[in-house]
Amino acid sequence: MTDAPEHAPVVVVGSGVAGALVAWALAARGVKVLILEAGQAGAERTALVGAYAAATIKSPRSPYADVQPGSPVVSPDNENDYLQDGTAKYKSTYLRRVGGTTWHMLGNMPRHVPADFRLKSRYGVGVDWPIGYDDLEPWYCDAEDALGVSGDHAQLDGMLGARRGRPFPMSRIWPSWGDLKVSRALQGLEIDGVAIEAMCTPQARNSRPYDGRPACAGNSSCVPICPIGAKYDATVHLKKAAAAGAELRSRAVVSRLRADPASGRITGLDYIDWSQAPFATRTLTADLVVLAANAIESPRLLLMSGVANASGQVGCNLMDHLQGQGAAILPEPVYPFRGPPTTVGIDAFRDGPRRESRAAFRMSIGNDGMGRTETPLDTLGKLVDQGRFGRDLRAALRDRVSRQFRISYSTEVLPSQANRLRLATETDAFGLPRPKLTVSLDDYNRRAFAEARKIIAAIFDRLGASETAFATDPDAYTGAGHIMGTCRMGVSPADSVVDADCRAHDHPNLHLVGASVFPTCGTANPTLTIAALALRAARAIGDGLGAPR
Amino acid sequence: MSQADTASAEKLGAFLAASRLLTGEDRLDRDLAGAYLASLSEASSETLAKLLAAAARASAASDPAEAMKTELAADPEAAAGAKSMIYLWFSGALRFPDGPRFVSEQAYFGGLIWRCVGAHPPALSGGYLGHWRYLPDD
Repeated sequence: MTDAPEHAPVVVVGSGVAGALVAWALAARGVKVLILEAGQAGAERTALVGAYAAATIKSPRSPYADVQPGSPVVSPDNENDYLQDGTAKYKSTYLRRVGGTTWHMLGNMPRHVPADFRLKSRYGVGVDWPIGYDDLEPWYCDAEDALGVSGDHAQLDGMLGARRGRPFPMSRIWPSWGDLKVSRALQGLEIDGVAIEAMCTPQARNSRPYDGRPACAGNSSCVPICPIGAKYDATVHLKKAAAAGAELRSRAVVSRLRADPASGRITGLDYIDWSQAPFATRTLTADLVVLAANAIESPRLLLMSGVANASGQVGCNLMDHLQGQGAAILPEPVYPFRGPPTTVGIDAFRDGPRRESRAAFRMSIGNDGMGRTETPLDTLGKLVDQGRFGRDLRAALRDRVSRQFRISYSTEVLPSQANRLRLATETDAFGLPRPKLTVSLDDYNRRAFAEARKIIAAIFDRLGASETAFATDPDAYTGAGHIMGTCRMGVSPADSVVDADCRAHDHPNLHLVGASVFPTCGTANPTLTIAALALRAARAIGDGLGAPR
Repeated sequence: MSQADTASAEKLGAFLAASRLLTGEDRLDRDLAGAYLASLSEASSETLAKLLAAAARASAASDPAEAMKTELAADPEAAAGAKSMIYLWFSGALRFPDGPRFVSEQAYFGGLIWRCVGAHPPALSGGYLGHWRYLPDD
């Protein structure tokens, strides 16, 4: 007699912020949820901090030995860890472990602005979302409560048309001494008729004890690890989901979704259980599947399974925010490396008629010195090589590092069919085809890079900065860690993968959550929008299951 | 104390004295000093010996900092050793072409640079909520 495969009413694939929120929201309504996570939980927080402390390159992945070579689930740490064949490089990475990429996110939580949902109607570029800011606004409020976002409600209410239904659950994170000094110096500055104002950056960082987690102590290591959990990470909602009865199964790599060709329903899935050697493939049946594996792993699974792709859009429209910076030495100390890496930014260029021809961008005023241009240890090396020592060295170190400063910019990318993910012939440790990425750089972004640098140069001028440094290559950019767009939302099954409720057009019992569903990406860090969409989708899923509210 | 213990205590003492002179910091962690002495001895015990001897001579002078400058100018090997030692105390790391290698977690957190610039090692602020709003204490 053969055993019937295990049956799970609802399976959530992926334990990052999107999966964790959906699992929690459904479990809280009495739905039985099974979360399958490819990675493992790994070490405790103090051990993660220790790994970070010892790391030569303090990269986003540096604390997380559980997703480094040695583990069969290895997360990319830089662009060279991907298979790529485009004319440009895709540079953003992710963590494939319990809690996902929130572990190493910076934690900035701006919302999209209304125009971000209407790029095509307003500016003739990109596409429109099937929902608007007003549809998502109440969910943004719920997401801010759920994650614990600190911010200045009065300052941000109505900014670029983004009205706020209620205040943040916590008041803004205190800006640093240097932030205040720079903000004061910028007062009254206008560039090309645009007022330059330092606006509070909302962030998922506690400005007081919240939800059983401590207030920020200014450890300044948010990327890649908060030592005390003052920064949100998705294990917060995984714990809540477990308390509500959800089951989390880690080291479970979903390798295939199965569909019934007649009904179009997803009937179940296969997953590789690597919690033992040799690995075992297990099959389960499910009534409903929520795919929340990030915008590279979700389309990868759909392509491997041959499902949800009547539109041909799965894997297409891969987006990131392309970033850059200007670094400088200021005439007076600002004392960087204290508090969060950034607490204020410039939002003025996140919208406007120029979006017809160049990407919008958000700017961040940094608390973290000159970034990669010159780190404090670079400065130390330079001064030591000059033969300095003792008090003379100390004075020179303090004088220089205390005046190090940067402003970074983060540009929107338009969706393009040609920027995409496909399956390679190369395979991973589980014998599954690896993703291959193809991206190119558009003039829409080049124009934004040039304009952002010009604006930063003008700001530096106002601040009396010296040794101003920009990338020598005008096309240079870094990745933001914002992987988006590959399973986009839309009205028509002909050109989109999911509908406005994140339900797959092709399969009534398959939902996708996460930034893979973004049709366009605006300039906001995606996490808050991911959370808002996830909570909204979870409501629809729960209602569809007839679960009590 | 055994003869070996006495010798190693003396060596540590000499190392600490040289370190104070070269870092300009009087309060140095003895455990880190022991670890750094071991690391630098392993890298080149001869260079370290020259450096400690130079530092001992300079400390006896009326202006130790000036005397040390002269010593290092005269001896490129000692000068190279000084650079490694200073970098190690301030960063907790040995310098390699592919980047700094931290001797230990404690060494990273104990790097002198952070307090020197009015900050803290990233991941260990030792501070209260909002301390960054105000000027550094030191």
